[in-house]
Amino acid sequence: MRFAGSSRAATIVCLTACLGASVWIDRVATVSAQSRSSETPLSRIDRLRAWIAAVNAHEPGFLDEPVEQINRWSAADLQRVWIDVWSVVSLVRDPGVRLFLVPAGRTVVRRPGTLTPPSAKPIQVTYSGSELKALIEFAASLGGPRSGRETQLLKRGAMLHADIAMLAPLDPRRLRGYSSAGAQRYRLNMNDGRPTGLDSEINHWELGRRLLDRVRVVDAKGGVPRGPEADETVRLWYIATFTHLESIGDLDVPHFDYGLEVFPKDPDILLLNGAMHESMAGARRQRAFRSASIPAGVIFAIGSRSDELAQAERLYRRALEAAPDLVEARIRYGRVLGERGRHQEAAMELQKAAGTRSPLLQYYCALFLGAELEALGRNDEAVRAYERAAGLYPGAQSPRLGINRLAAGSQRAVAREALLSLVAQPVDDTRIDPWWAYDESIGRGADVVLNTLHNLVRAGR
Amino acid sequence: MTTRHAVVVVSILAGSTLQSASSQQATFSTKLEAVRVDVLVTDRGDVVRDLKPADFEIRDNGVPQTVDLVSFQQIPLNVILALDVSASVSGDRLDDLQKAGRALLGRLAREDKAALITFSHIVTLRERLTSDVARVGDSLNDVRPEGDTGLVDGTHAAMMLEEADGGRNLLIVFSDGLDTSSWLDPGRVLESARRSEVVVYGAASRGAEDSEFLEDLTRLTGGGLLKIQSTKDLSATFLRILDEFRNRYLVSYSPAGVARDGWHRLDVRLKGRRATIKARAGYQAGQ
Repeated sequence: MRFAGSSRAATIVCLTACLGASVWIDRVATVSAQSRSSETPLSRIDRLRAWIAAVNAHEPGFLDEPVEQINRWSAADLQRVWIDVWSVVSLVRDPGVRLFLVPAGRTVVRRPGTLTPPSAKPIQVTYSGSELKALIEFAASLGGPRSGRETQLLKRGAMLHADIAMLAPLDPRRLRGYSSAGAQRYRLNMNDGRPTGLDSEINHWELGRRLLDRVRVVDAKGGVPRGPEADETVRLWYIATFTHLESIGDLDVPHFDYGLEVFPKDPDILLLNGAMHESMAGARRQRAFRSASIPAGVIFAIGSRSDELAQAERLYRRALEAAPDLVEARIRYGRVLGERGRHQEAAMELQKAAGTRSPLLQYYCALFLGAELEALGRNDEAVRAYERAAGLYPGAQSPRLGINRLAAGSQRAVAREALLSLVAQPVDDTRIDPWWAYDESIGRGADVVLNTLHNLVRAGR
Repeated sequence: MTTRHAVVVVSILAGSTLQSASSQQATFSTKLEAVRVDVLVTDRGDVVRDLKPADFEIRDNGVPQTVDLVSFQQIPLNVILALDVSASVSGDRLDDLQKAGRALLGRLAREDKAALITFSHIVTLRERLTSDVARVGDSLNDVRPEGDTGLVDGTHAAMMLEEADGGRNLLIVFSDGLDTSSWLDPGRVLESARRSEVVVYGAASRGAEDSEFLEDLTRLTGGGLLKIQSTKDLSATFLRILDEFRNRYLVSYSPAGVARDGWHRLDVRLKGRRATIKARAGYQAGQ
C-alpha cells in the first residue's frame, strides 16, 4: 500500500500525444529509408542482434545493464528494431514470406476514451539482400512456428520495455531531432492542482504494446492460433502496468485504452480503466489541465469531469456485469453514482459492498455510504456509517469531519471536541486517512502483480 | 443584552408560548434570546460611526424587528487564522504568509484571543483560542508546506473553533490554491456556516473561478473576500481585514413575528440614510 502518512508525492498525469493515425508509422518508414543511406546494413542487423541479446539477458523487474543499454537508444533506433522484430516474427511463422508489412498506428485518441481504427494502409518495409539473409537466419534460430519461441521473445521484449518505462530514469535528450508523435509521450506533471512542467520521453509503453500485438497462442491440438487476447501473460502485462501507473498517479490514457481494446470484457481491465477515468474526473487533474500550456498539436485525452465520470460509470458497470463479486468495482461504482447525483442508487450499491473483509475497502465503503446517506437526508444512518469508517482508521480526519458536520443537539459539542482533538494531534503515521490516497489505492497491488508477471516471463510463458 | 453570543436562535425562554403546535409554523410571540449581527456601515468607503439602535432597520424574513442594542469596538475579538500550507505555499509565499500572520497578531489588543489552524490535505489545529498570541506566532513559524489543498475541510474545522461565549469571532482564511483534496462537500459546509456566528474573511490569490467557495462563504457570513495579486500584499490585507472588523457594529435584536425554525433572511439598513451595509445574509434556526 502506498499511503504516505503525512507526506504526499506530487501527482503526475501523463498522456501520449497523438497527431494523426498514420504519422507514427509514416515517420518510421521515412526514418528507415533515410537511414539506409547513412548506415551500413550490418549496423541495422547489429542493432537487432543487440536488442535480442539485451532482451534475453534482462532480468524482469530489475534496473540492470540491458535496461540501461536500451534506454540509451534513440526513438528512431527503437522503431527500426521494432519493425525488424516484426519482420523476423513474420519469417518464423511463414519462412517463405518476402513482403513485409507493418501496420499503421491503431490507437489514436480522437477524443477521450475513444479509439479509432487506422486510417492509413500498412506500410511496406524493404530490405537489402544481406539484411534479408540476416533476418532469415534470426528467424531460423528461433525455431519453427510451433516452437513458440518468437512469442517468448515478444513477451520478454515487452517486459524489457515496460521495465525501462517503470525503472529507468527519464532522459529527454534522446528525443532530440526526432518528433514522431507515436514514438514519444508527453507527461504533464502537476502538484496540488497546478501544472509544474511538461516532459517528453520515448514511449516504451507503445513499443511494448506493439510487440505484444504479435503474440500468438498456438493450440496444442493444432487448432487455429489465437491472438494476444487469449494469452494470460499479455493480460497480466496490461494489469501489472496499469496498477503500477495508477499507484504512482501516472495516467497514460492511450495505454489504458489500448489494453481495454485487447481485453474488452476482462473485469480487472475494466475496473482499472474505470478507476483511471474516475481519477481523471478529480479536481487535481481537471484543474491542472485547465491551466496548463499545451504545445500545439499535442492532445491530452482528458474529458470534462462529467464525461470522465460517465465513462468511469460505464466501465465499472461492465466490470460488475462480468464479475458481480468484484467488491472494489462496486464501491467505486457507488461513489461515481453519488458524484453524478444518483444518491439512492449509490447508497444501494455501497450497502451491497459493505460485507467486504478488506479494512481499506470497508473504510472507503463506509465513508462513501456516509456521504450518500447524508445526501438522502438519512443523517442518523450517515453518522453510523462515518463512525464505522472512523473505527477502522481512528486517525482519519474525513469521517470525523462528516460526523462533526452532521452532529446535532447534545452530540454537537462531543463531535466538535472529537474532531478538534484529532486535528490537534501531531502529524505522523497515526493520522493516516486513506481518502487522501483514494486515486492511487487502486494500484496498491502493483508489486504483487508485477512479481507474478516477472515469474511468468522468466518461465517462458 | 444577554452575554450569550448566539446569532442563531437556540432556544425560547421559559414560559414562552407558541402560536402553533407545529414547529414549522410556529412564530415567536414572546421574548427570545437575542440574535446578534455584525454589521459594517460605510459611506463612500468611510466607516460611519456613532450610530444608535434607532438608526438601524432590521428585517428578519421580511418582518421588521426592534433593535435592542448596538455596540461598537467594545467586545474583545476571537481571531481564528485558517491558513493554506499546501505545497504551493513555499519559499517566499510562506515567508509572506508568516509575516502577515505576525503583523496581524501584533495588532491584537490584550483582551483579544487568537487561534491557528493550518491545512494542506491534512488539517492541523496548532493553537486553540488563547490570549497568548506570542505562542500562536511561534506556531506559525513552525509551519512547513506540503501536500494538496483541503480548503473546505480546513475551513470547516476552523469554524468549529468559535467559542460559544465571550468575544466576537473573526475567521480569516488564506488560500493560494484550489481545493484538491477535501472530503467535505462545499455546499454542506456552507449549510454549517448558516448555523455559525463566525464572520469569515478570505484572502485568495487565484482567479474568481477558484475562489467560489470562499466567495459564497464570506458573503453568507457577512465578511468579505479580498483577492490579492501577490502574497507580498498579505500583511496589508490581513491588517485591513482586522481594521474593518473592528469597525463593525454588533447589532442585537429579539426576533418577533417570525417562524422559529429554518432559514432567516436578514436585511439590514439605516433609517433615512443611504449607506453601504455589510452583514451576514441570514441565519439558520432550529434543526
